[in-house]
Amino acid sequence: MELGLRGRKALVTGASRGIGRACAELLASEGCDVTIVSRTQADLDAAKAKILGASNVAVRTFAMDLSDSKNADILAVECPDIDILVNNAGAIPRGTIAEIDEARWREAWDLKVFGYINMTRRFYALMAARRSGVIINIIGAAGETVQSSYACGSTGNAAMMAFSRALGGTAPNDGLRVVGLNPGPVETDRMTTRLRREATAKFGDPERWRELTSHMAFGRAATATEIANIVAFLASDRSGYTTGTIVTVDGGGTSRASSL
Amino acid sequence: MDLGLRGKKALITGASKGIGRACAEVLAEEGCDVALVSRTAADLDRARAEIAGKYNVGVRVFALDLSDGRNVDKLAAECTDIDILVNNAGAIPGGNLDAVTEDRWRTAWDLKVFGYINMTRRFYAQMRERGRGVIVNVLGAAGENPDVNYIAGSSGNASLMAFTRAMGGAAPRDNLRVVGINPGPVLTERLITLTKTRARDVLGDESRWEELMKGHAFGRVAKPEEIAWMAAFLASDQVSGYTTGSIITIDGGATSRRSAI
Repeated sequence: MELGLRGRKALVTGASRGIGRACAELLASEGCDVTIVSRTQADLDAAKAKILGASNVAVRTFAMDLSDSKNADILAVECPDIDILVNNAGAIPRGTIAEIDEARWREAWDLKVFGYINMTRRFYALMAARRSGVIINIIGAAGETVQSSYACGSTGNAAMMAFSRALGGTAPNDGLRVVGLNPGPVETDRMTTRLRREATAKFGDPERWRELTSHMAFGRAATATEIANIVAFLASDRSGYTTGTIVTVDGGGTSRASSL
Repeated sequence: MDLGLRGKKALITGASKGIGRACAEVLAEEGCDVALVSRTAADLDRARAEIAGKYNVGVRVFALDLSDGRNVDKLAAECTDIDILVNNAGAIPGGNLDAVTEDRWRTAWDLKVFGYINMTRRFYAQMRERGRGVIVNVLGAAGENPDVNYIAGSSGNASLMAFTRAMGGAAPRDNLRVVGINPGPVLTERLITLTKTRARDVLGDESRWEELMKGHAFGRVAKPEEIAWMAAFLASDQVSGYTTGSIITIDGGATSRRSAI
C-alpha cells in the first residue's frame, strides 16, 4: 500500500532511540525528509548515519531538551514547514504517588506533558497557517489502564489522551489532524534495561530477561517497528478522516480484564 | 509499505455495497483472494465481475442472509481456510425507543449484532484451530456516542464494541487478533439516499444534498476507502501484529468534538 508520504517533512522527538528512532527510520523509508530531536548529539549522529545509509532523504538533527519551552520555540523557528510532527520524547518514572516526589513528578511532566503541549502549540499554529499537517502523539496505554504503581505516568498519559482528542476533534476546522497512539509494552532499550535488572534479581542472570515477557500477548512485547508502522499509516492521507482518536496497540492488554 | 497480504483469504460480509465493497476492493488490490457475502446475488455478481476484472485474485460470492445462524454455519462449512474475516453486514434503523418497535429492533440486531457474533463464533474457532487469523468488525461510532434518536444502533454498536474488545483482548492466547473500526458518517449509497431525502425536506431540492455535508469535518464525510484502508492495515499481521482488542474510530474527530460546558 503506497502511503504517499514521499517528500513530506516529518519531525520526530525522542528520535535517537526506541519508538522515536523506529518512527524516524520508517518515515524516512517511506520517503519523508526527517528532522530528529533528542538530548544527545552523539545518539542523533548515529541515528542520522543509519537513516542516510538506508534512505535517500534529508536528515536534520537538533540536540535539545524539550522540557524547556524555549527549545520548542527555537525548533519552530528552524523548522517552519513540518508536515508531520511525532511527539514522542519523554519517559515518566514508575512508582506510586508516595515514591514520586513533587520535584520528580514535575520534571517528568515538563518533558512528556508540557513538552508535548508546547511543541503542539507552536507546530499546530504553523500547520494551521498552511491548513496542512498532522500531529501524532505517542502516549502510552497506562493512560487508559490506570495503575497506582505508575501514578505519574497514568495521570500524564490520561492528560495527553484528552489533549489529543480535544485538539483533534476540532482540528478539521483548521484542515489538520491530531491523533494519539497508546502503545502497551514495547521492546525498547528502556524496557530491556528494566527487565535485565528484574532478571538479575529474580534469576541471577540478566540474559534471561526474555522469560519475563512470556506472560505478555503473543509471549512478547510489541516491536518499536509495530508502533512506527501505524504512525506512518496515521500520518498518511490514507488516514485522511482519522483525527481526535486514540489508537491502542497493546496486544489487547487494555481489553483483557477479569470482572468476576 | 508492504502489508504482506498477498495470497491471504479474506471473507467480507455486506460486500456488495459501501464500506464492505471498498474493503473487498482494497483487500483484492493488496492480493487477497476474497469471498463476498451479501443478500442479493445480482449485486454480488456485479461486484465479482468488477473485482475479478481489475485484480488477479480469486473471487467467490455467497448470496446469504446472515441474520439466520444456519447460513453462518453453511458459510463456515464452505470457507474453511479464511485468514481475514471482515464483519460488516447490517444497517440498524434510526429512531427513538417509540419509533423502533420490538420487531424492527430484533430484525436489525439479528443481522448486525447476532450476525457478527455468530460469524465470529464459527470463524474464530476455525482460525484458532489453525493458529492464525484476524477478525475486523466494522461497527459504528454511535456505539461511543449514544444517541437517543439512534437508540437501536447506539446500543447494538456498544455491545459489539465490548464484544470485539473482550474477544480481542484474549485472542493472543490463540495467536489470533480481533479489532474493531468505528466509522462516523461515510459516503455510501445509504447515506446519499438519506441525505437526499433531507435535502428535499430542508432545502426543497434533493440535488443540493452535498450542501448538507458541509457541517462535517473537512466539509465532507469519510470515503468508504478511508475505512477500507484501515481495515486492510489492521488485517495485516506484518504491520499490525500487536494490535488487538482495540477499537479505531474514523469519524473526522466528531466523537471528540463536543462541548462539556
